[in-house]
Amino acid sequence: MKYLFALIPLLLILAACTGSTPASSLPEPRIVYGLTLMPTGFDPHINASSELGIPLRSVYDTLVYRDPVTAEFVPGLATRWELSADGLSYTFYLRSDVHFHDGTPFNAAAVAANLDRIVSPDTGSQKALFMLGPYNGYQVVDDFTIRLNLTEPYAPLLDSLSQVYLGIASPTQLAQYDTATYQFHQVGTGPYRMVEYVPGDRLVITRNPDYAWGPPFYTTPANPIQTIEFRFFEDPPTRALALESGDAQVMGELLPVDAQLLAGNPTQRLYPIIRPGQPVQFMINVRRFPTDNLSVRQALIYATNRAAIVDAVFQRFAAVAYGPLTQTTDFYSPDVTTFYPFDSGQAESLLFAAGFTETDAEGMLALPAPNPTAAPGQPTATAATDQSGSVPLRLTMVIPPWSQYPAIAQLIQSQWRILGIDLEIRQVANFAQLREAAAAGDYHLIGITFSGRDPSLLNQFFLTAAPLNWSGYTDIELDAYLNEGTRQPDPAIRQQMYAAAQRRIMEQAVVLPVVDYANLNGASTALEGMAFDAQGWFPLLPNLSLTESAGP
Amino acid sequence: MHPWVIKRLLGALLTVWASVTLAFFALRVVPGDAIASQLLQGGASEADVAARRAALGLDDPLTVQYINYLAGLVRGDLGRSLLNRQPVSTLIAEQFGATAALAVSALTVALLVGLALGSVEAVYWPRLPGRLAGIVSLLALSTPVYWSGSLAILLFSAGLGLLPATGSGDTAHLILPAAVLGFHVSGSIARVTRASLRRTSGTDFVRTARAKGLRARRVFTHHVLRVGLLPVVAVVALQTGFLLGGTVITETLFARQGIGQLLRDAILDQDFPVVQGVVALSAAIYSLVSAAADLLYGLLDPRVRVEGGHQEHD
Repeated sequence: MKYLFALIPLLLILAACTGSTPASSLPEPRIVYGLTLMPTGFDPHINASSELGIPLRSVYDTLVYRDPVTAEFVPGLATRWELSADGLSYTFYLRSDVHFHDGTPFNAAAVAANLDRIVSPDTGSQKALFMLGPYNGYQVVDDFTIRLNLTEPYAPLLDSLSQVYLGIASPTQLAQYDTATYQFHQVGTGPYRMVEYVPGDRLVITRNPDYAWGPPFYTTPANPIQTIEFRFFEDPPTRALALESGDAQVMGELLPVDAQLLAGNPTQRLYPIIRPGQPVQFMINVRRFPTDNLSVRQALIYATNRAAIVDAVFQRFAAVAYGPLTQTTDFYSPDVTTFYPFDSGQAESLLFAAGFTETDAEGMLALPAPNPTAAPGQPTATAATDQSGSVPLRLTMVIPPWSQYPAIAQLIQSQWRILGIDLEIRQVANFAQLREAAAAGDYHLIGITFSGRDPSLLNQFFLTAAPLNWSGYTDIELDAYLNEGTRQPDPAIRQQMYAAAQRRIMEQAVVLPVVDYANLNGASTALEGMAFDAQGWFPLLPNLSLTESAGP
Repeated sequence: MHPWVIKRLLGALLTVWASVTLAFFALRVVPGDAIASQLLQGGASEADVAARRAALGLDDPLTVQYINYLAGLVRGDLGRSLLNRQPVSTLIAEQFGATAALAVSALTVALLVGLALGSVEAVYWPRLPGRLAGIVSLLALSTPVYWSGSLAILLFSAGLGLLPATGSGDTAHLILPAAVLGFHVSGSIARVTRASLRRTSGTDFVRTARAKGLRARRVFTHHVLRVGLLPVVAVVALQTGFLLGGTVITETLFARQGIGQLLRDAILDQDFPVVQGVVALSAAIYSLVSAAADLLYGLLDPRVRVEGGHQEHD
């Protein structure tokens, strides 16, 4: 036994030695910024995580930027750009005064090298490649002019080019490392340089003193943050604790209950940012009884008290959603707010009109047993019947574990039960299982929400042949709006197309929108200049400053 | 080499093979994979997904994939992550130090606390110190790491500001997670210690020692402890397995770097090769530790000598 005890001091020494020490020689002031998950990879050309952009948005510049307030496209690495009359080529005129963090110059060849890398099959891009849409190569016109070609007009291209996934990296560096190792040695032209990335532990960036080519909304505060250490806080309850204990000065995705507590804390400030893209919503299966009936679908939306969900689940740090796009998305149409206010009386009469006229002992609605001369269109063989032959109003909802779907689903379940709608909730673990459930098709509602500033993300869900058309809704008219919305470069025309698409989707009640999701960011009050870019997710790090010595 | 050692090593190999095989097929029974999820969320079409899967060999028949995987394993190649294309061995190596540090220090805490609690309980029962030790060890056993960890962060970091709550930096960052995880494991060590010490106290040789006129303390340290702590060695070996699992929760809670976090993310993302790699490693560690425990058993207790490839347990 004494041997065992003799081991203990040895083990303690071993334990003390294996811990790593963070770089402390980096310039002050320094802050810790809490990320909410550990991306599988940090290469913006390859990986798809939105978390990677939080640090890297400031390591790279993009050809264009979007103003965080007006969402207008403003010059980035390109001073100006032209679209050809046929809409098939964009010409970018580049800045000639830019150099990468490794000292090499930025030019058209650098842009070309980046495009080559993104589209190469060897790169295995998981997002950047698809953001280029119908991209069809480039021509280097001169040292500082490059033309991007398309096989068909693609209006969302500028929005794509404004995002970090299409950020421009140093070709020298790209050539030096392979697709697995570049993520540890990233070099861009942005306001911060990458210092180190230690998987699972931290990613550190420091201010780039040479940076003089930023977009107008990058300010230079008096006491900017010189060093930012990003750390990973995957456990949601730990996030607020880390902020409170001073382990981190900024933190994303706080739990709503923690945000509520934080709002009353004088040393912390809350920054709720409504995420552009889709609200937290359910796609309604139009191929399955009884949601194949428009009245039933409309009744379900009327029956959902969304304000109560915003109160209970989101502690009011979010907004009621009315349509397939959140209010911070491009071409959001306020028209949708006229559809389906919470109205249980309206829901009841629509369900009655749809044939659900029977009520069982527990108050649950049912379709009466069909008589031999049943009206056409009424289901007989396809739906489950009980002993008496009547068909109960029983629905199945498939939900993922994120974006507060479980809590939302439970509230909806109890709201609908009062009206006699029996809802079964099936939770899956991840996106792959969600997709599998969608392919199986035995659901009435399925929860899915994507983020993105450009409404062309609707194409993935509502085009007849869309990969995520989990409603099974087919509509030539809607297809036309969505396709034109993606093709037409003129914002005024896009506005019309997307307004029509949003109206159509709501008229047909293809989705049940619930809430415009808000990312609840918290930050120390010692930090000034907290603001987020047009995508709603990425902070404008160069604008941050420290008012007092409140660093870690 | 001693035939017993060879036998145990072969057994360990068999365990590792069985675990990775189970992991390999279990992961593929569940629908979906990392590539399909990631690409569809990135805006790809079904055709893009199919092409990428084919390129990565995910479309090959399962038996072919399995044979390829085993062939790689024999050469020491754990494959590459589907999502970031890094060799799995590199991914594990990056995280191993942090997890080893946590597991070893937690085990140290568990041993110190568990042995102390168990001894106090055995010696002083039913007096107050014994009862108190009993309550504490029961508490250790029955509070999940998740709960005691959050409480510890609230108290020592947010409340008193004594220790950093999160991160993996230096030794200070190790104290809270190691204490929390170690405290939890100490519960079962304390229980086994108590039971074994009490049983040993009642045996003939202890009575003989007392009859010889030895002082109570000497009887306890030289006779009762020597024999009574033997089962603890077995428990420690068993707890190593738990510690490997316990680090998953602890690392997530304390936002620490480590294998646990790597495994958790790989499971959620369905990055099969990474999960398989971690399973293989855990199985190997577990088999080796339990073989070492058996060997130690023999060294510590002359009654359990390993001879001629046969091992006799009491």
